[in-house]
Amino acid sequence: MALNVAAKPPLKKKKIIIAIVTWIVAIALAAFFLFPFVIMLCRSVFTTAESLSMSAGLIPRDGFYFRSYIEALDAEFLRYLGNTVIVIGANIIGKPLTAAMAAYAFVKVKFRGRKLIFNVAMCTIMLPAILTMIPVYKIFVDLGWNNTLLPLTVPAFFGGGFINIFLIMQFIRSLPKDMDEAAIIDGANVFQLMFRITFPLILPVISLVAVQSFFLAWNDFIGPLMYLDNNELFTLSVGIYNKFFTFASAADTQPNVQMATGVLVMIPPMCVFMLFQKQLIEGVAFTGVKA
Amino acid sequence: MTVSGRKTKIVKELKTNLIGYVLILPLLVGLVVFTLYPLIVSLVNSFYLGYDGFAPRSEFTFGWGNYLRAFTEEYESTVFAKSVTITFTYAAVMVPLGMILSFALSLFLNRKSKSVGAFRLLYYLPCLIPGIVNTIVWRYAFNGSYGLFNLMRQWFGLAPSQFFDEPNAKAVVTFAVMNLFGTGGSMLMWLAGLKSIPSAYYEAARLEGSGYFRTLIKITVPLMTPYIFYQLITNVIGTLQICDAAYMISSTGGVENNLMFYGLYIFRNFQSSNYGYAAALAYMLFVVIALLSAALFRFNKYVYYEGDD
Repeated sequence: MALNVAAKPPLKKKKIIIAIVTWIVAIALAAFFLFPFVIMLCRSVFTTAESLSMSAGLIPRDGFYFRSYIEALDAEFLRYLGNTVIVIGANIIGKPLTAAMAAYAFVKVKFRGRKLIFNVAMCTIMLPAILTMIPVYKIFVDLGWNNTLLPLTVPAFFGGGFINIFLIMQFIRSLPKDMDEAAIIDGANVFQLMFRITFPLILPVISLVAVQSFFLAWNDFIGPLMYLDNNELFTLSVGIYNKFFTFASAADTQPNVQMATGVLVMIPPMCVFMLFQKQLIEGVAFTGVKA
Repeated sequence: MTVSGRKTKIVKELKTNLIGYVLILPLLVGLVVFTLYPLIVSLVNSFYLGYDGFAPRSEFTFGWGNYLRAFTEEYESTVFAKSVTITFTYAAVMVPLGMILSFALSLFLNRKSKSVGAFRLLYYLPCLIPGIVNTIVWRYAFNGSYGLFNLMRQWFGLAPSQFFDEPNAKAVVTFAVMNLFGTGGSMLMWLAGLKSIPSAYYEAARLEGSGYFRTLIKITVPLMTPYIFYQLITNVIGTLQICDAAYMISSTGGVENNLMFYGLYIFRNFQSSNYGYAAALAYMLFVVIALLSAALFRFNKYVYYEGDD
């Protein structure tokens, strides 16, 4: 971009103008994409009355109102958070583990029928989730699991999604094979090979799957909406939705508390993203094209 | 081979199969219980007119009733037509537009500079906002009485709008504007693709005296076709299934069903225990997605894959 433009005086005027325009466009775009964050952060510290008035201001006229965060962080919020943590815990353990097991079997264990199972699983990627949703709901209702967290946690232990399996398979395939051979000569069995040699080497992709499972579970709305109708069991997204948007009247009472709630709900995913930024961005590239 | 040799071989093969199936068991059970069995049940349900999921199927009429209902029944057919129109128009406009905008963004950021990393992160950030938080922010910014966007309309001398609650197509336009903030996700994917293009191609083009747009059309775009193809398919399929975002913005599907995306229409029918009808709707969506994918795969021959000339 415009680095060290000033250091070289004989630069052409045209180049300087292009550099300036580039910076202006870059910053304007950044302002656009940051808009939701700015509005949320600023309005969360407005007083209720001011947040209900139409103004373009970013700094509160009536003084900062940090109580909105205390109001947002009530006992209900903490309970929703607790339920969300339970669901996430199951998902970030179950999905990577069972997906890695299946991926290992597909790549390294030459069992009969693996091609058939692989192809069938491959075909299911394209299926719209909504097609299987209702019968799955019925299964859980018949099991009496309706209105428990089980339908949101147990399915995580059944393969973890075929895309994840595929991703891990690609990674395992790229590993050198001589370590396996050395271990086999030393008399290691398959489980030792898997847990001692392969899994430590595929930790980057395992953590990628775990982090992606975290985001999916943190954002999941339809699942909890279908299975839970007890305020005690709500996860964050459904609990907050019910609190603010079920009755039209409740929606328009305290925008500042809503914004504060939004900020609080956003903090964990932002932290996770910052910690795993490199892997996640590479993960987008990796899952991107492997056609 | 001796008898005992053959025996150990068989034992070994049995052991390999056993280990394989132990490892694959979770996936296999998941595949059968959560995908294959529900697929069949859904198909069966779709043929029982008015099936509600609880009374025995024998109480309902068997046939194409649920499928016909979407086209013939007075009330359902209008909602169905509206949701199909909204969903497909939205996909037809927003998928290409989203791809072009995110591609332009990635071209803009595809340069060697230290500040690029920071901007890439900034543009991507809105994609990390959880759906519920998005709902909170955008219902506020697009509020009909005190929303920021109404203030902006005021500056331009326009009458206030109800945005998501407009009784016409403006509701979907608002929804589209909201989704533009998610452009950064595809941008990351394009950027990864652009990075994979060897710089030698650009070097050669520059030496030949090719200008920016010529290089773009003749080198960048052809080499990006695998990415274009992938994004086209996934975005079309994803857009046709929009459900939770629309539900959160307007749990009822908007004023006069103006935000009744097809996925939401199915979900609403599930919520009102129209299992048979919802299954029929879902199967129709499935068939359309399969046909569309097949049609899109015909473009595969125009896709350039490195190293398979």
